[in-house]
Order: sequence, then structure tokens, then C-alpha cells
Amino acid sequence: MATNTPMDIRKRPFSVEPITNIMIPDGIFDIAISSQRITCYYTNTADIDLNDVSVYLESIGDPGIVPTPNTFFFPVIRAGASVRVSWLADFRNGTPGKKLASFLAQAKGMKSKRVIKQIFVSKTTYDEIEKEYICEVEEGNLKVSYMSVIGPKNEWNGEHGNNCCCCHCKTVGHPPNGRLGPWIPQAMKMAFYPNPSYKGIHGDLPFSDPWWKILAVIVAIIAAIVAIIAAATGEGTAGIGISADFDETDPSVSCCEPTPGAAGEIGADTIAGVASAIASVAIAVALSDAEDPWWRGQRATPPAKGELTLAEKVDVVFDYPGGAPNAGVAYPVDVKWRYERVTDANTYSYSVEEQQVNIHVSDGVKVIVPETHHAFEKPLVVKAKFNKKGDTFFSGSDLYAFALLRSPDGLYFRMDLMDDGIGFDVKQNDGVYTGSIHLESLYKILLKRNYKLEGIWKVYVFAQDVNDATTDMLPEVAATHIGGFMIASAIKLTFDPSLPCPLQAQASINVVT
Amino acid sequence: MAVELEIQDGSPYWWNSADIWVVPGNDPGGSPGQPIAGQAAYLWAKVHNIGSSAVISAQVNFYWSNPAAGVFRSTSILIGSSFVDIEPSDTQDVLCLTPWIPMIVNDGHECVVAEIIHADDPLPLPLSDPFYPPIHLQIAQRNLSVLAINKSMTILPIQISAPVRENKSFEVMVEFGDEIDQRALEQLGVGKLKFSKQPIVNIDISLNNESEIINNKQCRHLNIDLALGTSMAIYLKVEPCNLKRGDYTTINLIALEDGSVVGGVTFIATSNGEE
Repeated sequence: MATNTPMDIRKRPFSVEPITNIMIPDGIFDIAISSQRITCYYTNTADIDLNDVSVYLESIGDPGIVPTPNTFFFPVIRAGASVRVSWLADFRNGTPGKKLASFLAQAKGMKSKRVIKQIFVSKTTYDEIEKEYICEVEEGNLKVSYMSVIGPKNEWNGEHGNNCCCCHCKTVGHPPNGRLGPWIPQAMKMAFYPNPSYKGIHGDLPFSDPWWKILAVIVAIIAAIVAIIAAATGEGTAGIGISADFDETDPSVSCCEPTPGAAGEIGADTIAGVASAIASVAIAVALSDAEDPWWRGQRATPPAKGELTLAEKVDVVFDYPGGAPNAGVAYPVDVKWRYERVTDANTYSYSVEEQQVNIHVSDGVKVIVPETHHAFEKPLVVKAKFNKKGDTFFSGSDLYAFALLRSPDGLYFRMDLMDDGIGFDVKQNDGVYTGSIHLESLYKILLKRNYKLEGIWKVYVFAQDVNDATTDMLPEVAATHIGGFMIASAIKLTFDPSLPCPLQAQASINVVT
Repeated sequence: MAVELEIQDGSPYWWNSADIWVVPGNDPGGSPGQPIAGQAAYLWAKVHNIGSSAVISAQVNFYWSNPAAGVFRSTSILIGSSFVDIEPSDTQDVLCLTPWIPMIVNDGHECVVAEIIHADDPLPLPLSDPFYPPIHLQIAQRNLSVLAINKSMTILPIQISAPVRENKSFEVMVEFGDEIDQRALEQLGVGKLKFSKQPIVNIDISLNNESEIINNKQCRHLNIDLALGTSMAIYLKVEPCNLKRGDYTTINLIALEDGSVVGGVTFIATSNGEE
């Protein structure tokens, strides 16, 4: 009798926004983004290679979330290898909550095996009257207001396609007005309204997993990328469920040169999205992975017996003594926050002033490319190794990684980087993430624009860590496992415009024909 | 033939398909059983590719409707959809992950329909209002549920409807049926029940829902005229007579049109343990 196909999804599926290509942190899908890729790593858990493996998404436990069906075929999946698969889905009519999603894998000569995983769905909206964001989950609503940010000093691309770096328009605080961020948080007011009100010290965590602060990060990212999506689609808010607003302050973050291309092109959208992700997760850094202000505030303000907690407010101010936040860097954030618990009988408060440091760090990325590449001979192969601390490397399903290739005339192409032992990736889980593209296939695209194939191509590599919380963890333990941080990025944010170009290629290739 | 998809009908009546089953509770991978009113349940379907070509991304739709003697698209509610790949001559179980919560008023006695759709084996367009599984391999129906009887009379409203564009005249009858397929019993969580040749209940159908003693004047036939797009209730009345724990009696309520069976509901009447 045939055995079950030994394939499993060990890490929580996560959302990838298809225009910016960034992962939304912590495996959360937000209905404000209409179209998202349900992405996961599927792992061969056996000691043997599997042949002719097919993988598809069977069902989602919310009829308002409509996936586009697709089946992935793999001639071979090596023992222990994790392959990345994703399905585009329409989230417009989804509802907040923990939803089940089922996936099937079948290898040749084996029975199909079903894996059921949870995905977390939130719903972020913007109240134009109250000027506040509302992030709804089953456990309650987080309202975010007075979100003060450090905005971009300059535009990603100048009005006339030049590299304008001097147009800081303070009056423009509305992202959909064409400014693509990043927006580095400086202060915000947040209030969580638990549903239902609760007795005792601690309430339920959102989705029984992430800290409440993650919802604040989601709000910040949504607010940032709606502008990018709107600019890319040219349809106003057609691709997104909300508009957005920030209070912008000085100083400004520099993020301009060289222009990554026009809005709506892969380079601009992705780089702007990456910059937004880096900026937004500074909230998560400042509010600590170990325990966030809500948890700490709850512990410090035990209510009297029988009192019902109605609301929990956190006002927070951030400062960046080491400069702008950046991917994979242990940057410090000075943070002052005040927690206030409002019960049906009293109000309690607790304040903290401290410095937090980004712990989602890497010791850099090494990109391996040929010095010279003959465009029509064979595919161009890019390899990247992402250092953890010391001599250890991220590997396999640790990362969601990709690269952008920039043609000599500035057109960008996206390339997935995988450590799955497939194709040009020699060995699975060895810490070498590999991608390939045959430049011959790009030739027509370049020709249409009168762009040349020959010349210096630049490689920009990006990676976000993947949440590794497991379903058997206690909620307060799972909450300390956070994914979606940029651990490697070619974009560097800075408050000092005199510093070198913030978009730095990690490698260059001389392409000849 | 290239692609031919099937969800098998029940026997002797198509509405007792064993290719559709319910898993009550919060674990979709749990044991099959009778849906519980007001509590989540998950639906499964067994789909077959009896053609010669593999099928990729066929869509399986799951519907529920009130207990009815004929099930229509216009009176049914889509629960959710799933996708499935099937090799030729192969069978695949398909799970619908949208939780289905049977209505309290129906006490879990609801009709469930599953259909499999693929561009290479489409249903005829325009889709007819009645699902009418016997003429479509791709559609099956499950109108089979357990009726736990106590000492008093049980009255069940059964919906009978006319499609949206036709007036209809039906003959509705109720009868004692034969032994139920063991697989179907197990899917309802009552695999250990034994069929009783001697009925353990008296049955009657009526247009009123008054609780009256069923006697020798049991009504087993009704003639119903329905205007297009309308529905009405027929009341199935079940009263214990030889109730014995562990035994069951099959009750079929059947709708006929011009002498042909057009729909029905089957109940497995058994003791609720209080006799």
C-alpha cells in the first residue's frame, strides 16, 4: 500500500504583497490589501528524494478569500529541502480572524497528503473623521492615531525622471499623493479595545500569537505601501482597501539616488516597499520582541478583583540615536512609552523610558556572480549567503529572499533566491540561496525600450526572516517569535544626505553578447 | 473520453450519496458524524475522475439548504469552494474548510449538495435551477440524517419548492425504507445501529404542524400545487411505537412529478436513549 507523501509545512504561511514583493510581517494578511500571495515553504521531511511532486492549495476557511488555483510541479524535491510556493488570492471580502488553509502534496508512487495550517487575517481601515487607523482582529480593535513620521526628504524619482534629491515638501503628508516613503515612525498613540472586556491581569493576544505591537507594525506598513500600490496600479485606491495619512516631521530620511525607476516598475515598487518595511518594523524593535508594552503594562497594573479592562492605551515616542533604522543592523531606538489600563472602575498607568536594539541582525550578505557573463550562452546565476552571527548562515526556509537585477539602462528584473537544491542551487539547506535568469529571455523587453543588454548589470539582494513559531507554543512564547524583519537589503536609509548613495548594489556583472 | 468527473449518487435514492459527508466539530480531520445544530462542521466530498485525462484545479462547490424534497440553486446557500487535482481513474477526498454551522431551527437536518466543475467537463449552460443530481455525474446530494426519537412525537418541517420559472404539481409520499448502506451509517456516526424489520415508529405527513396522535388514519400521500418560485412546508410526523435502543427504521419522504421521483429526504429514525 502506498505511503503518504512526506511533505509538510513547518512554518506559518505568510503574505507577500505582489507589487512591492515584500512579506507582510509575522504571517499576517490584512484585508486592506486586496491582492496578496499566500506563500509557504513546503518541506520534504523524509530521508529520501521525492520525484514528480505536485503541490496545490485546496481550500481556505473563509469564502471571502478567493485564491487563484494553481498546481506546482517539481521533478525532484531533495531530502530535507524546502520549496517555496505561493498562490495569489483576492482578500477583498475576507473577514478578520484565524482561518484554516489546506494544501495537498503528492509524490510519484505515494498517496497525497493534506496539511492544514492557520493564517492570520486582520482588517485595517482608516477613519477620515477621527483621523485614526483601526486594525480589527477577533480579539479586539487596535486604534492608531497621531502617527508622526520622518518622511522622505526627496522623491524616489524626480518629476522629470531625474534624480531630484531636494524636494522635501512638508505639506505633503498624504502618501497617496505620489510619495512612496519610507516613513520612519517617531511617535504614535495606540489604544486596544479588547473583545470582550476581560477580568484579570492579561487579556488574549491577537490570534493567540503575536504581541499587540505587531498590529501597530501592520498598520504602519499598510499605511506606507498603500501609496506604492496606488502609484503602481494608477487606479487610486482600487487595489487597496484604505487611504492613509501621516503627520510628518523633520528631519527627513534620505533615500533618493539613484532613481530605481518609475512608479509601477519592479524596481521602484520593490525598493520603496523594502524601505517602508525597514522603516515600519522599527516600531517592533522599539517595543521589544521579548514582551511588548501591553504585556509589561498589564503586569505592572493589576486591576482590582472583578474589574473589567475596557481599553489599553499606549502612547509612544521614538528616537534614533544611531541614525536611521536599517536592515540586519543592531540599530538602537530610544523609546518612551506610557501604558494606561482603563477599567470599569479605575485607570492605571505605567511608564517606561529605555533603549531597545534591533535583534534581527545579520553579519552581512555575500553575493556571488560571474565577473563576465555571455548573455546568450546560458542562464545568469546569482548566489547569496546571508550571515547570521559568526560563521553561521541562514538556510532553507529561514528566509524569504530575492534579488533585483538592474540593466545598464536602469530596467529592473526580479529573481527569487532559493536554497532548495533545485536547478542551479547545488545543495539544499547549505546556506547558499540561488536564483537564475536567462538574459536572452529579457532581450525583447529591453529592445522594445531601446535599452541595451550589454554592459554592467547590478545585483541588489533582499531578505526577510520567516516566523518560526510552532502551533504547540504557548501564546506568550509564540509571540516572541517574530518574522518579516528585513535582515538584508540593498537599500540603506539615512538622515544624512551627505552620505553615499543609499541604494547600493552588492555585486556587478559585465554582460557581453 | 478525455475528462469525466463524478461525485457518486446514493442508492436506492440519489439523495443518500455516501460521497458527501460531514465532520462535526472544530477539527476538519475528525470523525464523520451527524451535524449538530449551531455548531461548526466541515464538509467533505469524494470525487472521481472516470475519464482518461488528468484534471488540474477542478473546483468543488459545497451548498446547504433547508430539509427539502427537491434542492434548487435558488434556495441553497454556497458554503465554500475547494480545488482538486485528480489523475485518470483516480479518486480524491476534497475538504471544504469554510466552517458550516447548521441552523438551530433545522436541528441539524439539512440538505447538502456538492458539485465538481472543470472547463473540460462543464455543466450545461444555463445552469438549471434544480440541482437534480441523477442527470449530472458532477453533482451529488446528501439528504440523509439521523432522527433521534424520544417518547413524544417529533415533527419535522420539510421544504418543497417550485423552480423560479415553472409552476409545479407534486405528489409527496412517505414510506419505510430498506436497510441503509453501512458506509453511510458510519459517516453519520451510527455504524453500530441495527436495521429493524419491524418499524419502530409510526409516520405521517401533513400540511399542519399540530401534534396529534398518529393512528390508523396515517396520511402517507399529499398532492401539492406550487406557483413558480414559491415554497411551502410539509410536516413529517414521527411517533415511537416499538422503540428499542440500538435499532433503526429508515423513513423516506419522496416527491414525485408525473409519477417520476424528483427529490426526497431520508431519515434514520432511532431511539435517543430515553425510552
